[in-house]
Amino acid sequence: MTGEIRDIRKNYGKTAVLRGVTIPVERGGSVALVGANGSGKSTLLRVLAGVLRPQSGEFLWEGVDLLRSRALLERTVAYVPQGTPLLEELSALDNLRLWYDRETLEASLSGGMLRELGVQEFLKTPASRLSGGMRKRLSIGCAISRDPQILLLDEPTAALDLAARERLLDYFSGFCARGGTILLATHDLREVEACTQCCLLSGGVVTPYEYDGDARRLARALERP
Amino acid sequence: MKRFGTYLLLQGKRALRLLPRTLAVTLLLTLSAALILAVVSARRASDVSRRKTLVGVIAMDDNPYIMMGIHAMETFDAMRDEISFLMMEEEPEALQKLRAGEIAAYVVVPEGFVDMMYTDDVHPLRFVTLAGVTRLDSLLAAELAEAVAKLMIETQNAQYGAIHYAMDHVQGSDPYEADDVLIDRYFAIVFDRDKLFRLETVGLSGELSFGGYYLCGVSVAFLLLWGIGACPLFTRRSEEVGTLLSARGFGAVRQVAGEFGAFYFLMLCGALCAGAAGLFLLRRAGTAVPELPYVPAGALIRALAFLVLTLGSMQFFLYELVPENPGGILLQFLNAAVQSFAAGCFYPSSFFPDGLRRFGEHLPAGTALRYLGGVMSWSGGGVAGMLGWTALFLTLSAAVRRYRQTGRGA
Repeated sequence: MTGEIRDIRKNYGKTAVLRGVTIPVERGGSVALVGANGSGKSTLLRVLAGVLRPQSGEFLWEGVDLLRSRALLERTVAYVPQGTPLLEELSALDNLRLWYDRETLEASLSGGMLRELGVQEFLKTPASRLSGGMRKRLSIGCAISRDPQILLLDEPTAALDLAARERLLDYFSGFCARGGTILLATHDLREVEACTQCCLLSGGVVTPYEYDGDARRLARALERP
Repeated sequence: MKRFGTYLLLQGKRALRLLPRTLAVTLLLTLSAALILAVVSARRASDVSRRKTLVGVIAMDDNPYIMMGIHAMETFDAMRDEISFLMMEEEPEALQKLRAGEIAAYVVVPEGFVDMMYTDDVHPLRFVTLAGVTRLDSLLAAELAEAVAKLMIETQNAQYGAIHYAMDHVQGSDPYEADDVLIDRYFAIVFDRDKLFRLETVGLSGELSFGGYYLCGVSVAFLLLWGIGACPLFTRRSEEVGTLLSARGFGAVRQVAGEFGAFYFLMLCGALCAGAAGLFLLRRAGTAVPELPYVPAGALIRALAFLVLTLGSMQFFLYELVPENPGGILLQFLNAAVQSFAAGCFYPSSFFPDGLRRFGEHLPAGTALRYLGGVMSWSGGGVAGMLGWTALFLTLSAAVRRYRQTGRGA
């Protein structure tokens, strides 16, 4: 085991949303986080990305608590929110410029991660004119500007067509094959199948779940208090 | 710092792309508002012109001839159908009523005015009206011209009568020499108008003329309406960009500074374009803004820069509160409508009751209007108030942004 999300607790006012979430994470592994709407999946990802500050808990990676070291967290973790974090009026290239320095951007476009995502196909197109799949690929491209080891994805293939979804899943498996770790919040069974590990988030706590392709059983498990 | 520069540059690029549309929408809104108000004002003005003009009289002299004269003018004079008089005690009261539109002018009769008429030492009447109201000036001039013409004819007759009387009945003196002396003294009093009355004008607000006041008002209203035209810059921005930037250590304060910098740039470009076009049209139309030739272009540009800073920061804050469509636009519209009315952009605030006037003056739009008025009339604009509002709005914007990204709203 390379890391662990340990006993994360997060309250909104007096409401406890996360009541001690613990998930082991491995280098090269992928974790599907499944839960009903409002169960706290996005909150957990935001806490792990450093957007929200938890009441308590640790995000251990190679022995270091990333939540205590912002610089290390920024270098190690990339977060792609559910919405598209793009400046709509600007081109894909301008959007990338916000997150990359010039040299890294050129290198990445000529043969690095951005090329793998296929972003160079629509560099000069304004973000507002991109398709859903392109927008998601561009969002991921923006997020991975620091060559992260962990990718946090919030419903990454929601509302995408089949081709776009498969292309993204291919990218994710390639990312993991190179030693990267993915933690994704999802309602999509295809994504759950593609992950090496599945966790159910319900009532603010996480329980491991062995997904065997039976969607009804998974739904029943989510309904249990 | 490098990240801030990039963010500012990219936001500026967004703003520049939206500039033509924003400018067109704002100009359209301002012209529509001005047109509606012009129609309403014209109707009101025609109603007012059908009524008798009320002129205040402050008589420091308690000589009974004053009251007799006023009564005579109201009863027998050619102006009786057009003017009626209102006796008043104090000049400040008269000035307030003048600015509130309750009287069209007032006349101050100095102490001992009637007695002084018997000597050469005449203290003039002061006739005070609003700058730009020419109707009363011309009425007064016509009345005086008629009076002088009659006086000259009657005096001429009296003169000939006096000479004939002197030739027939007075022995031992030259009647023509006595007549010359009489005419000299008479002309010294009657034809020296400066000694008889002095015309003074006061502005609607401070020292501003009608034209100057309305130019300031329309300029502030234009900048208030800018918030509606600029809505795509705010309603189409992604909340997630800010959230991610925040996670990368680029916090709410720097985000707000970068975005406001771009919005400020957009608004200033628009204001300068519209200002230049407006001044050109005013010159072409020959509209009277007497102050304008005396205000250097540099001072106007500096004033615009401060106005845009204050009003822009207010609009930025409102979009920070309600960034969605149509709520954001509705809020901007309500804000522009309420503030432009209460501050007196289209309708002078001196016409309002005291409480509303004071309230309007202290609103951001009121502060901006007073500032621009000060610049136009060379009486000095208070920049401190403008900067105070700006600092408050930007601080609140950063606080709201931080709350949205890290608080319950996240």
